[in-house]
Amino acid sequence: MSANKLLIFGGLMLAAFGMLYGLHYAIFVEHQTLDRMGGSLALAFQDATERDLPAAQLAIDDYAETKYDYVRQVDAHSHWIGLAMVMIIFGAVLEQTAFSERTRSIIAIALTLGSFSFPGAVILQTWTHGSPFSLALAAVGSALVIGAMLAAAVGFALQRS
Amino acid sequence: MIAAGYLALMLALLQSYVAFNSKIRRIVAQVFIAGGLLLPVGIFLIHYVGLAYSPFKVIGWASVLADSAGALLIAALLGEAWGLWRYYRGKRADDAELLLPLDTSWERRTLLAGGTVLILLGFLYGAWYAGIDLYEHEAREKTILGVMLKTSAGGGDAAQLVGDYGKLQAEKAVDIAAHSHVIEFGLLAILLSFIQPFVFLGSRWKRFWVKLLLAGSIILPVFVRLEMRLGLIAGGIADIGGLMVLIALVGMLVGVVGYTGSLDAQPGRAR
Repeated sequence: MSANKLLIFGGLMLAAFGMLYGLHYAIFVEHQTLDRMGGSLALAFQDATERDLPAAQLAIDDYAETKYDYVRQVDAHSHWIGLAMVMIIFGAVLEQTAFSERTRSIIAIALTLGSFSFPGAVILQTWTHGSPFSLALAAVGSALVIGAMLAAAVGFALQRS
Repeated sequence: MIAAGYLALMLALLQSYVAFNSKIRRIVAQVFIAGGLLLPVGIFLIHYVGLAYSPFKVIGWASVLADSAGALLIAALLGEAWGLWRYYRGKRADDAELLLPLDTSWERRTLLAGGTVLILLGFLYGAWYAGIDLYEHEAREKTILGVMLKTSAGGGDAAQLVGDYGKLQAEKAVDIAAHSHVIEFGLLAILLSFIQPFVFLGSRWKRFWVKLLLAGSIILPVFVRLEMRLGLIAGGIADIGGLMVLIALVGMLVGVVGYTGSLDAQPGRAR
């Protein structure tokens, strides 16, 4: 599969996947999560007014844990779709870099792998809070995307009129 | 809404390769636009409609509208992917869209390279934010809330803590705004590179608008980020950056209008 096909198809699939995840999240998870966050915060202040500080701290811990998951779930959804847009647009323009098809394919593979894995690793963090594997996977995924973008920028800069 | 708009523009670039007849292409496009319009409207209304008349425990009618619009977007995207798949399998539409002219002008190359560099900068900043600031912000929020509870339980004055909490939210907002704006401007620059053959202006003016757009695209996010340190001065400079992008867009738009005017002025072309 050529570089532009991989990026365009991969981008469309990733966008659809990111939207499906968002749809599932909005229906089955988001409202319940927001409800839990608001409830924890309200409970914390209620416990504080009753001078029950240990219970208030537990409620704050619950709030922080829920928000940790919420931020990453929303981030993964938006980053999947955002990276899909980057893939689609580079699928349309990558042929104009001053590189051979082989180099373009390497850039496309790196961008595709990074775009799928980086938000995936962010979701993984919600299951395994702070695990080294999910952090390392996120770092590798973002490094792949950044490396691909850097190579594409060089390719465009080297392009001749 | 902006993200859906960007995605619509990108899909427009691919229409030459979508192997459906024009009627089906139009239907898929209409489904996408309907989804792109209704999704943000639904999200906007969630706050106002709430759970009124909803049969669900936590999901209101506005959420149902937003979710249905999201489903429309997914269906349209899968339709586009199917059309592209047909193209790559050798199918061709009789009334396919014309291919965009291949242009390797200075403006095109500068917008492509500049846009890519902007996206790259946005990614680098995002990686730095995720690695350094995100966890510190989360820990600080938890600490501030914990101290706030202890202070208020002890009858103390929590005004300073509320101020700290507000400042933390502002820090998060400018970090995220800088990250997303620089990437969006990068995408915009790359998209604008496609329309350069249709900007009916002299080379000097075309280059000027390109430089103005790229300069504004870097000034705005950099000074948004500096707002926490420099205050309103940075905010004002960021606004000037946004204005530069806006003026460059209008300049290019004038060129595009001039191009269509030149087509209409050709004998037998006026409609």
